[in-house]
Amino acid sequence: MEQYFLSALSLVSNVGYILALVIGVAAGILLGALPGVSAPMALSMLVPLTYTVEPEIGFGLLIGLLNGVVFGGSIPAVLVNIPGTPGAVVSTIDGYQMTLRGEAGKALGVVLIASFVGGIFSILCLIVSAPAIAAIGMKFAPHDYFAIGVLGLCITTGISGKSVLLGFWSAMLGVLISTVGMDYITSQHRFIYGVTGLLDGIPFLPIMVGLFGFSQVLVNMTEPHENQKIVVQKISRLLPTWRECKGLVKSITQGSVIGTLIGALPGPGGSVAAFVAYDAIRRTSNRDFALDPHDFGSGRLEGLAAPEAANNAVTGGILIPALTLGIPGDASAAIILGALMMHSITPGPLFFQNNLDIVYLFYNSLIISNIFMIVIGVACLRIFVKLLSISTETLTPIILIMCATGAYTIQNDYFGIVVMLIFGFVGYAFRWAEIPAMPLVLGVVLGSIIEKNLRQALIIEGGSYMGILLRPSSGLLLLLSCTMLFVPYIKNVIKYAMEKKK
Amino acid sequence: MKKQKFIGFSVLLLSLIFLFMSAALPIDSRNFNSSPRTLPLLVSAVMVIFSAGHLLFPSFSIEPATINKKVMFRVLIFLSVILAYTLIIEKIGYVASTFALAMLSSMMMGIRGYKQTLCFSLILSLGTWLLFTKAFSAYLPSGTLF
Repeated sequence: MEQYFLSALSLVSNVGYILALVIGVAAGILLGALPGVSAPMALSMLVPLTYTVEPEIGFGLLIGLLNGVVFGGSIPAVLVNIPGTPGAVVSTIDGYQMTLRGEAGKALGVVLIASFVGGIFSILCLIVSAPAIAAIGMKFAPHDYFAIGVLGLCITTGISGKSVLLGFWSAMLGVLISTVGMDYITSQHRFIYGVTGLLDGIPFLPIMVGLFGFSQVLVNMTEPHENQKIVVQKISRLLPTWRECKGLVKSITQGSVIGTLIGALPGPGGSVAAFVAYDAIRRTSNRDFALDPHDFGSGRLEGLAAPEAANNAVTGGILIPALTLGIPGDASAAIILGALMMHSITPGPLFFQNNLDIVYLFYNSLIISNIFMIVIGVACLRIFVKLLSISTETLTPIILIMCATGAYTIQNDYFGIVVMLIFGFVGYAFRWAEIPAMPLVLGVVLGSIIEKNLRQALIIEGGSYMGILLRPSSGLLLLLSCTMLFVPYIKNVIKYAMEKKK
Repeated sequence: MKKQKFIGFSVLLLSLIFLFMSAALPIDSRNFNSSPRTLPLLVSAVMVIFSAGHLLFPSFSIEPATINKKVMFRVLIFLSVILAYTLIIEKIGYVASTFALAMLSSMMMGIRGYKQTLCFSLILSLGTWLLFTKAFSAYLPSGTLF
């Protein structure tokens, strides 16, 4: 504990770190507020920058950005009914209704408070639970890690996109991509065909930049778009009254718990957490109309606070499996894991033994960035709202140049741009085919974990798959994975056949 | 051909290619089941089964395929521009090539006015160069121009 506070003290006195956090949060709020810029996209644009600076500055920037984007996405959701990020979709329901009746300032104030509380709650859960989970993780055998990786992929494919099969294909393609390069046990070259740049595998970050950033540029460049000049009404009083705040305790608490739990599961992410939290508060609210005369759907404060708390609580939640087991909860966590690996740090149970300084850096950055988020939010919200009017015409070349430059600096070679180009086109084709990109990203990250542990387990078991299936813990997890995959798949087949008959 | 069938065929083809490429990888004689080809072979085989299964028993329906030729042409043109950028970045330098890319992309996006596009591209290329090289000490190629 003493070491933790000393680490916090040394960080707070580091001007470069504080500046990185402030820039991260401010840039995050701004990027999140721009419709079409999601958290993975913003992170993938800025990750290359962290490679050349000290870890505390680099990770401070990333954590600040992550917190800022999640909050920023709710600004256009409340003000103009356009969610900046997928997690802010639910906030349009009651938030925009409040704006229509001239309470935009109060709505944004509720968003700020709920986001702050949700964020802090999830960080506390991370701090409390992470060492315990990491300790349990130390007892896991390769069989279990293999099964956890498979489960993570199956959960993701089950809930992302239009069909389980589309998500499954995307994830499997990601796993296949992860196998490109030199085999880590036998040093055998796989799928390289003379391209020396592929010896260490396809670089992860240009894949991310391509899938999330460059594919969006392609969409903006090639498809007809409307000039998105957003006109926003004036922001008046920002914070709700003390009495109103007290009325939001239940919704914010509920949202924070739901967000943290859902965030800790690999796959669902902020949008699912926000929907579940909204539904939960709608069912359990005692609807005190004396305190708030509006019902859900017509601008009720509780209807905005719960999803916002959940959406922000996901930030800490996704880092629980990511840091303790090395299993990313969503694409944002996958990028942060990628950034850690760029600094030669391997997340997982040993992370808490070997890299305690980085663990404390994460904890402190999450807490401090949440504090900065509320300070910057209150002080600069009016400026961010004005910047919302930036047009797609101006934004697209900026994103393009940032993506290309970032992809180049990862390896100081044009090979990064080529990878970005290829995966940008893949992302574009995925959008056309309605195939979700997120399972592919998780497939790339989890692929190496799955392969490493599968092969270790097979060596232990003398090459027998039955040893993995018959071990109680891994067998149970694999059974759960099959259920997660096959039940919705069979349901889809039956539903489609019925539709066709009709 | 319906969009879902087209996707199914594409995935089947891709997984068959991966299956054959994986099968060509050598086997570790000491650990037959734990060789470099274990996972790629397993994954591509599962993909073949699922994509073939989808063609026989479809599980989803999406709108019929419509490929807008004009849009595809713009995509190809734009990809060629970026490819040209990757080829010249190390030869003529980061700032000059990025300036050209910013000019082209701004024109493709329809930013009006010659002076406006010029100023915007200049600020963007110099701004990112300053940000990456000075603030973050990253290496960007200087080339023959800048």
